[in-house]
Amino acid sequence: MTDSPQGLVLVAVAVLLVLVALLPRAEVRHPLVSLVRVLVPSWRFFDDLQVTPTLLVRVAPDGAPFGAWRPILAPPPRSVVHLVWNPAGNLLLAQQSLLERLLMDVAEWDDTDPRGPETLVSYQLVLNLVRAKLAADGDVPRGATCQFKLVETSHAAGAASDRTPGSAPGDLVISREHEA
Amino acid sequence: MTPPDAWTTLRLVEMVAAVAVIQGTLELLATRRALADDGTWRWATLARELRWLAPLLAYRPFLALLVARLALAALLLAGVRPGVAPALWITSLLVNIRFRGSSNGGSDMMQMVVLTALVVAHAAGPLGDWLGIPSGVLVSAALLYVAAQAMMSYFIAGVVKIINAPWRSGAALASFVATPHFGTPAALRRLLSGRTALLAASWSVMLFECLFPVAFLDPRLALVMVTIAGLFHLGNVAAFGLNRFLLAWAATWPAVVYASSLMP
Repeated sequence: MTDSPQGLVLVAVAVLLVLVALLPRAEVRHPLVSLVRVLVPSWRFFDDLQVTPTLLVRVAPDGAPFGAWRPILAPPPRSVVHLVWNPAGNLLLAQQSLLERLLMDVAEWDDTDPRGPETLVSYQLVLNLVRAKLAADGDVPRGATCQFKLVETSHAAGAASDRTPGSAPGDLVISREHEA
Repeated sequence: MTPPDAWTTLRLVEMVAAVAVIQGTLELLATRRALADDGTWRWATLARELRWLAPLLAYRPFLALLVARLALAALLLAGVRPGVAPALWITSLLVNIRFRGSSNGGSDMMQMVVLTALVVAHAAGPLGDWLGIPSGVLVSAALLYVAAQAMMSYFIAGVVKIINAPWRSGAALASFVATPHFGTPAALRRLLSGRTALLAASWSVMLFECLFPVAFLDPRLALVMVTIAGLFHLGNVAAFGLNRFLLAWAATWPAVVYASSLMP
């Protein structure tokens, strides 16, 4: 293959791409750049095992203590229809991206900033998600308080049967208490 | 075999891209509650960053934008060209901006790659006259851009996996199928619970992705590689529910076959 001119060109392009792929990932965090990041493709799909957050929520009825932490995002059971129609599954992926964005934003938060990370747009979006899910579930009494946290999802290799979120978690982000 | 010419290839790319946009837009409309004023992506929160886009991205205008995008994609599917690709490009970018960058990750990126190429290809006549270049050359260049991005998407994804020890050992794939939000079916998780199956699946993915550039050597090889790519994306739908990726990448495959036919 490498004897032909097109083979040599292909090998040269491949070497160049390998070098590009090996460059360290550079995140440009400017808000405007972030908004149009879809115009700058990154093709490093599933490249490494990053921390995957799981969203847990607990609710306290008016004046009562908090209940147990529980997950509120569950993937829809897979069906062959999902090949062409998977709005709930894709919504869940977008919600998961929100959680990952909050993790990044909190990691970069300046601790000396008196406003607190709850002023972050990504924090407010996750709080919106929590409130919308609780309202949709319809099991939140009037005047209730809620709190959410992101915990590290168990990624143990070979633990495919252990899918209990928070089974071996580390807390990543814990919210303040908010009106549910 | 006779490879397709540039104009036939462009039409194929247009049609698949249009169906991909229709699919994605209908899915967004089906989940519009999440965008409403009591939903997750409520405008009151997003306005802190995007207030200047309120006439386009507040809830009601955004629904109108999605309907317009749907209509534009239907026009593209029907073969209408003037003004359609730039309008689709702009509406698609706005949809992604409302999700603070992207609603569906890589599939949005590939969709923008294809729409960018369509903008150039559809303007090939006047643009070619202005630049003094035959319009056919510009259409070919647009298709080659799509083919190159498709090749890079597989090849770079393959390289970053193969240099990663957990991927080579199968541990990475085991971890991804165990990630709750992907909702990998239990049967598939059981199938990938053994070391041999995990290694076979991991190495199949890495080898396919790393070898994708050979598609450019010959149109027959290109057909083989895009067929494998189709199976790969079907597997991703089954394992991770990534259905929008299937059509987003399928729109690039005619360009890959076309590019391979240009090799002397």
